[in-house]
Amino acid sequence: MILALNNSLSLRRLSFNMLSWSSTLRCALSCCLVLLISLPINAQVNSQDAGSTHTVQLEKAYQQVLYEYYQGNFSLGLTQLAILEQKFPNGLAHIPEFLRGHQVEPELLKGGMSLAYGLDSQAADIFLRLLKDNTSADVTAHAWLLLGKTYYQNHKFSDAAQAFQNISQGHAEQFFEPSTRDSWLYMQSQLYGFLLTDASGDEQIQWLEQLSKHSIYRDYVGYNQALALLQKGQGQSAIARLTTLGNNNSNSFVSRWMSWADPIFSENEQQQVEAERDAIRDRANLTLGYTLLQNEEPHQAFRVFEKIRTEGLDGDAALLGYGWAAAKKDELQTALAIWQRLMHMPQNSEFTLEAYLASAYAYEKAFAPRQSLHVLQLGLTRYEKTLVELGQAEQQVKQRAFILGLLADNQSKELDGYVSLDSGDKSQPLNSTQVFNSVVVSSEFRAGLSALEQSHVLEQQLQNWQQRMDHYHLMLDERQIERTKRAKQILQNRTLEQLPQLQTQRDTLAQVIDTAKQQQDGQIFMSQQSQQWLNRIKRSEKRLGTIAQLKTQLGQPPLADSYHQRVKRVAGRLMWQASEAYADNQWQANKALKQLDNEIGKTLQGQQQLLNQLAAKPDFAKQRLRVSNLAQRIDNQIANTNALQNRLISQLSATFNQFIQVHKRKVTHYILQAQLAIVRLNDQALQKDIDGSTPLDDTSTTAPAGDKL
Amino acid sequence: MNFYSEKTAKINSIHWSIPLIFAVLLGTSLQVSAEQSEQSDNNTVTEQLQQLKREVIALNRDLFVLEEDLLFPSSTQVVVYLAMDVGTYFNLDAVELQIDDRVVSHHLYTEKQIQALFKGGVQKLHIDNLAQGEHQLSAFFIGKGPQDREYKRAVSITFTKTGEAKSLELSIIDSSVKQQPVFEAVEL
Repeated sequence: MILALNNSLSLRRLSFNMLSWSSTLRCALSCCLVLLISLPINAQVNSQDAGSTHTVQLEKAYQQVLYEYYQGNFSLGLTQLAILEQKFPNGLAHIPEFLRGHQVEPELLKGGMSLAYGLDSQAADIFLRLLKDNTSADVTAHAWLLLGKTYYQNHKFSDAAQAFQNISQGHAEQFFEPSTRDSWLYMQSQLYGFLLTDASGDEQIQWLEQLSKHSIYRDYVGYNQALALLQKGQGQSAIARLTTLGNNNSNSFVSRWMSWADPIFSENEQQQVEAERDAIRDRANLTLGYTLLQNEEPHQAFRVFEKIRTEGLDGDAALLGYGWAAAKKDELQTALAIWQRLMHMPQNSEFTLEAYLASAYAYEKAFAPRQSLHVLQLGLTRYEKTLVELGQAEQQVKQRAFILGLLADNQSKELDGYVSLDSGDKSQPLNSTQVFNSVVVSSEFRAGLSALEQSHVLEQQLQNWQQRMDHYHLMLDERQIERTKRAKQILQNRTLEQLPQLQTQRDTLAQVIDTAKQQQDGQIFMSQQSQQWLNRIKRSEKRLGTIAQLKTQLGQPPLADSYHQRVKRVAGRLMWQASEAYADNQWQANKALKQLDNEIGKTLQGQQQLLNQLAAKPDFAKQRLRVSNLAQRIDNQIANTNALQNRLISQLSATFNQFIQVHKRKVTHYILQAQLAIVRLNDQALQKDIDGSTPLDDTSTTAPAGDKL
Repeated sequence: MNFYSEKTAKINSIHWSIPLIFAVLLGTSLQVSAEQSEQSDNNTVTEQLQQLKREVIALNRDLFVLEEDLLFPSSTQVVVYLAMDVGTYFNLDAVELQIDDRVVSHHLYTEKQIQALFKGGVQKLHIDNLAQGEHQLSAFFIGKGPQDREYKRAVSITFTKTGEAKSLELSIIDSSVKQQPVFEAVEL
């Protein structure tokens, strides 16, 4: 029966084996087919994945540029762009359409950022290249505009005018946002005045009409046009325009959705726009006041001067004119009171200094020659003192610390909307702040100061980087120490030796499986519990043998055969189960072995990488070299920055000195005028003593306001 | 005001007119050459400043790349970006970021930053080193929602860090269907 069972088992095993062979063969064939088909697909998918990852990275890199640009961080924006171009050469040409189509052409953005950051030549090159490549009408219009602005900033006015003229009115309206279009119109109006001095006023008015209603440029263009009319002798038109400007109280600020070009063109700060508008209104009223004085209309001039803010930039000039308007109205007391106020001001501006001469004139006109003489004497003392102070200021401006001190002032004052040096400045014990102020507001000085400020910021940035380089050197040292320590630990723990042992164990296991396969022995693949049961059966057989032996020795009847048969039956059942599960168990064992092989392979690979990394000592040297090279470049740039700063400081000192010399000449002229007046007054007094009837008021007194104008 | 200077001018004009003409001519030519030299000096300074700026940008670029290589190697690097839609239904004030229940970043937004995000910009909100394996990122968005109400929402994502650099993106999108902002976190 057992034989029959064995035969049937072996037959089933054979048929199962054949079945498994055929199925394995089918599986292998289908696997090969799938592999063959999937290989090119996988390659395609992999390249697509790499391509999409590349696109996403490029997209994110460009969006980071946009993030910095729209915040006005042009330096950071350009840096991000440089990183993008390094990582993705020619990447700007492959920016996705949703970022370029409705926003801005990437090259144009780069040019705009370069222009805004002060890299004018780089910007001009980009715009010229874009124009040469003949891109879309929108890009071309913006490229011309930005190229024109680049030339305009570099005082290449003829080139700028030509660039602006390449933009048609229609394109400007179609492609430019209002603020950008206003900027274009304003620059054109400025250039129009510069290049075509013979242009008629009517043509110029068009600029004003085209500018948007709330643009600050309206005020500038209006004022410039009024000045042009004055120069042409069209006084009444000029007065009308200045009156409109002077009464313009619309401090409206329009906040709107930002266009892409706004960070380049618009400051867009409400406080700044209002301060600018107030300053222009003051200047328009000042010009109007003096024009009216010249036209012998003191009553109107008086009312105009009243509107000017005393705390503004034109406060002193307005006070002087206010006094003259009062004097012309024969309100000499009022005029004297105003000029007294000017005379008591600590700053030695031309207006405070002229107030002495003006007061002397008023006293003389009021038949008070003694007071006139007294004021002239006071004036002379003040002038002498001013000359001494200007001499001291001359020495002061030669000092490097003085110019550098202006940087801090500039930064803090710019928050108030304009740059000026107040009397509270600790670095100036002198009363020459007005002179300094007039220098500081001059465009050439502001440009120089701005360049110095930028180089100062760059120097600070470079020094900061220099410190970081030192930190990186230290960090690399620490890492190297840490790495050596870890390598030692690995060697001490014999971690690397554990794998060969595991490999040996695996080989032994594989051998056992092979043997089992060769012998078709299902017992080896038995589960742990089955093996425990088999051991128990073996123990039972042994016990039965012992019992049978003892019974024979004791002469007792032997055990019933049923015991042996039961044990054999159970053993046979276990064997049969093992044989039945042989194929499954073998497959499981092979699978487990394969997994183990994979794991060992991966570990081996990791271990190899670890060994390679441990062997690759020059890695730190390479990183150190990179850090050192960067540190060297930073050092060089710090040296360049210092050289540039020295040049800028000497230029600024020279500018200051030039202004001081001019002011000194003015003061010398006042001294001469005061001395002449004293001589004349003494002459008149003497003549009066001699004649007793000579009129005190001499004909030599001329209309003073005309000189000012 | 030159109302006292007429006599002086007359005297000067008699005695000094001829030498003055020469002096003026000489002065003018000197001034012209001085102006030209000043202009070229200014150009040189401007050129130098531009050169310096170009160098600083190149330096900054190399420094960024070096720092990324040194501090955040790709085997451990995880970057989180933040992108934003037009913002009709949500006005962002702040974002708090947690990785594996640890707060790693808290960012308050200025108006300019918000505008920059609206205009298509993307902020690199956080960069970190993480071990290879599974991690969880949670982001809390604080701001004003529809009808100007206080709004706080969270979004979470579980991701697996491999040997390659990992990039994640948080997005705030306006859903016109729901009339609500939608917050998303995706692996890039």
